[in-house]
Formats: sequence, C-alpha cells, structure tokens
Amino acid sequence: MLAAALQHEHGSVGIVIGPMALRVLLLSAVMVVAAFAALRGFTGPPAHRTAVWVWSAAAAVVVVELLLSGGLDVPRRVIPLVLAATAAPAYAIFSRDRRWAVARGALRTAAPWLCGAAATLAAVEFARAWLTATGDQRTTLLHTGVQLAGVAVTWLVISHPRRGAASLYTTAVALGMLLVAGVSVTLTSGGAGPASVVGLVN
Amino acid sequence: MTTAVKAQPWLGPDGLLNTRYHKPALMVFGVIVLGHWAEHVAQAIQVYLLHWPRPTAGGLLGLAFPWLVTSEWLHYGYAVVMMIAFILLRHGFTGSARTWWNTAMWIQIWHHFEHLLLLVQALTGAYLLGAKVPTSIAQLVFPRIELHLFYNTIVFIPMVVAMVKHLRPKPEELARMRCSCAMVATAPAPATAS
Repeated sequence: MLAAALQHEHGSVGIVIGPMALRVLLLSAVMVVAAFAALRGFTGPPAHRTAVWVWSAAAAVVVVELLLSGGLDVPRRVIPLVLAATAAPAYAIFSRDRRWAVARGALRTAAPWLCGAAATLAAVEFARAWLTATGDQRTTLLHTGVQLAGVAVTWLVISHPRRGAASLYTTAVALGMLLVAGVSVTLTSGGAGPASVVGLVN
Repeated sequence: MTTAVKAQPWLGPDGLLNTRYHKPALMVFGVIVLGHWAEHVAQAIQVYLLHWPRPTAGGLLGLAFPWLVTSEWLHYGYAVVMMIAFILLRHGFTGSARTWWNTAMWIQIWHHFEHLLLLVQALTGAYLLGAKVPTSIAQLVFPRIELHLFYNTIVFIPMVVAMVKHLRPKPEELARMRCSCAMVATAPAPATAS
C-alpha cells in the first residue's frame, strides 16, 4: 500500500495562470500591514476582525515570499520554524478555549520582544542588502528582509505592551521595517529579474 | 397570540450538527475518510494482486475518471472537506476526546495548508524557494518523505482515538455531552418517592 500511495501524482491542475497573481497579492498584503503598522502607534489594540485581517495579510507576505523569492538567506530547514513563528500569534487571535488561556497570555507577553527580534533581523537583512551585497545576492537579502518584516507584524498584531517606551519601540521598529519592506517588494517584484532590481536600487 | 420560536442553528456548540445530528454527521465523515483509505487499498490490490501497470492503477475512482486521481484539485478538495468537518464537528466532543479531536484538527489544518501551497504552485508556476517542481514545506526537512500517506496517517490516528473515546466517555464527560453518540446506557433517573 505504501508503494501504491507513492504513486499519488501532485501538481496537475489543468491551467497555469502565472505568478502575476502572487505579485498582486504580495503588494496588496504589504500595503495592508504597512498601513496597520503606521497607525498602530496612534490607536489602541486592534478589534478581533482587524487582527484577523492584518495577521492574514502578514502571513500571506511570509508565504508568498517563499514562492516568489527563488531562495532566501536562511537555511531551508529553518523555514518551518519561520512559518511556526508566523502561525503562533494566530492562536492568540483565534482561540477562545479557557484551558489554554495561560498559553495565550504567554504569547501576548512575549509578542513585543519577538516582534522586535524579527524586525531587527529584517533590518540586518536590509542593511546587508543595501550596504554590502550586489546582484542576485542583494535580491535574496531583500526578499528575506521582507519575509522577516512580515513575521514581525504577525507579532505586532497581538502586542499590547503596557510601558510607553516599549510600545513606541515596537511600533517604530515595525513601521520602519514595513515601509522599507514595501519599497523593497516594489523593487523586487517588478518581473524583470534581478538585473533590473540592481539597476533600480543602484 | 403567537410566540416566536427561534430555530436552533446548525453550527456552533449548540448547533444541530453538534447535538442532535452529531452522530449522523460523524458517520458521514467516517464514510468519506474510510472511502479515501479504501481507494488506497484498491490501488494496492491493483498493483500487487492484479499486477496492473502502475500508471493505470488509480484505485476505483481512477477507473471511471482517470484525470481525477492525478488532479491536484481532488487532493485539495478532500483536504478542505476534512478540515471543515474537523472544525464544525469539534464542539460535540468533550474531555480527552476533544483534545484528540483538536490534535487531529490542527494537523489537518496544516495538511490543508500544504495542499494549498502545492495547488498555488501548480497554478502559478512559482515553486517553493526556486524548486523545479511543486514542493511542500515538509520536504524541506524530510526530502524523501511520502507526504500523502504520512499526513493522512497522522491525522487518522488521533481522529480514531477521539471517536473511540467519544463513543465510550467517562461519566463526567458523558454528563457534558449533548449528542447521542455515546455507546453506554444512560443512567435511569432516580425514582421519586410518592
């Protein structure tokens, strides 16, 4: 039966629509998360529906980058951890099970720090891309930065730090990362390949 | 004078699907899941007992609709049906059965995500991290894993455990159950002295 199961063929869908839809999705999602990050410093905690939409958009950024990037500046075996880090805030958003209230509280407590960590890693990727890298390597670093910024925003959604400084730090870092991410996505998803990206950035 | 009676909803903890119709809903779901496994058994029989050429051994559905078995849409459709059933029917479970059911549900949600990713890759031609063929996340860690069998097995096992525990609940779990799934005799109401 194992061998029979091995025969399952995946990948036949009848039509191929091309990657343009993914690029449109990526740009749309980046706009949503950038708008949220920009406004988060001036508003209270998001309503449930807002949290769902923003988390979904940020998660879409993370996943679509896997498909459009052609490769990222992280080991392939780390990708499941990146996805797990992206998915974890969803539990704090969606779950209402009383038995796991402590776990949800822990997620919310850790959120500002994890948001800051992901945003810092994204900043490092962007800095390396613009200061040290060229060509395809620069494109890869930019895509990686965009993805990590997306991870940061998934945690920003459930971040409600009590201290003003922490709130300001979290919001400012996330806002900065998202604005940079938006620009980077615009440059790297033009469809003309790495050469044109280098030309635009330079 | 008429009194408006609010119709009982189908979904949610108090919905018909988790109370009066929980048992038939689980039966329908079980038939779908077992039918899926039966396809694999039929495929194995075709290969090992009937010695059919492997490309033609498409199970039972594959005999009538060869294109269906090789379609990503079929795999994705099944994953969606499974996921929706797990989500909608979870409220009917109590105690440890609910924990096992939730475990199966979360694994299936991830399984569905993997299928969605494969479907999107096939549709757009943009493959995961520049791969040459549609690739799943698990393949990044376990390159030779047989995903279809693996995922269906790790979903199926906790699902069966949940169903068995749901059929044979502990007294405190039975007290919280609002469906008729339990295979234990309901304790008779204490007699009242007249």
